[in-house]
Amino acid sequence: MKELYADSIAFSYRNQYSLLSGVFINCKPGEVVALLGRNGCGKSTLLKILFGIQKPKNGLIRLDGKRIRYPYLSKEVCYLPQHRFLPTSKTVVQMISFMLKDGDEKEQIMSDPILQKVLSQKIADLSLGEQRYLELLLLLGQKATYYLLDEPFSGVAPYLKERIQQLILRYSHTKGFVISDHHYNSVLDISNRILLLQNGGCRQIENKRDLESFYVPEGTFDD
Amino acid sequence: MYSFILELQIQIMKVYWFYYKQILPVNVALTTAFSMMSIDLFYWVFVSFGFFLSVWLYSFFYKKARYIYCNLGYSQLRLVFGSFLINTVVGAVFLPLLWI
Repeated sequence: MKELYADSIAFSYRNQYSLLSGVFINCKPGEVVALLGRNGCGKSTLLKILFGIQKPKNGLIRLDGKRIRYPYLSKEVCYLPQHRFLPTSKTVVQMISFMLKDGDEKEQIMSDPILQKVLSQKIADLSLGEQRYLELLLLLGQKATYYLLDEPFSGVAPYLKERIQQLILRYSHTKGFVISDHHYNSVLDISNRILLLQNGGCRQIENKRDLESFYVPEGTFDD
Repeated sequence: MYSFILELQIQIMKVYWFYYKQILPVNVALTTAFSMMSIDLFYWVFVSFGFFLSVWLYSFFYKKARYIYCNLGYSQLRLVFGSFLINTVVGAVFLPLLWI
């Protein structure tokens, strides 16, 4: 069964209170899971644990039914970190040809209307939104099935936000996404499941209205 | 089948080479500085101390770079090992130049 599954995830920073305690989260191909929560509640840490670069204090991760310690080594899981990670001294073309193996995939990205104009530019010269967009496209070009996106919409111009949403929806038929972002409206628009990380645990939210009880002010979704 | 394996090898080498290119300038600078005392030390510093110090400096000052390699399925250990081998070969190629 194809699924990224994590159970009983516990984590605490040294000499600190328990950040995550017994978190359960799962994602299947075809799902877009919105992971919401307040600042510092452990969303990014949870995504890093799911990716395999942060060691949990306790818990298990299963990838397609198999227990796994470092999911990223399987090449089935990709992670878009909160902050930019591409080397600023390289050009867009250099990064595309480095990160993508498939020729068709390369051509498709190079002909993207937004990236086409900036292909020869250095990463440092791109706007924050363009960098996020490029990072996301490079990751989507990998053969992974599960994508963990940490704040893909933050600092991104509205027209790029829409492009990113369209991209995620286009790929969501075959891939699974877990997206955390403070811009909850951008995530809620495209998600088909909502999880709220609160008090160290994950709470399943049935619909947007329920969010008003736990996360957003009353009346947010009135219209 | 053979071409697939060859292509895979080229792809793997491409990743190691990319990582190695980020390390190399720092290694050359460090090695040059450390071998001021004796040029005979150049090769040994280049393939050992200089290399590992460069790797540490690179991962300390540019922490985010690890996400590139992790997303391609490479662990830090694997990268360091692969680029260490490349560094040894590069060092061996340039070693005879020191005798000229």
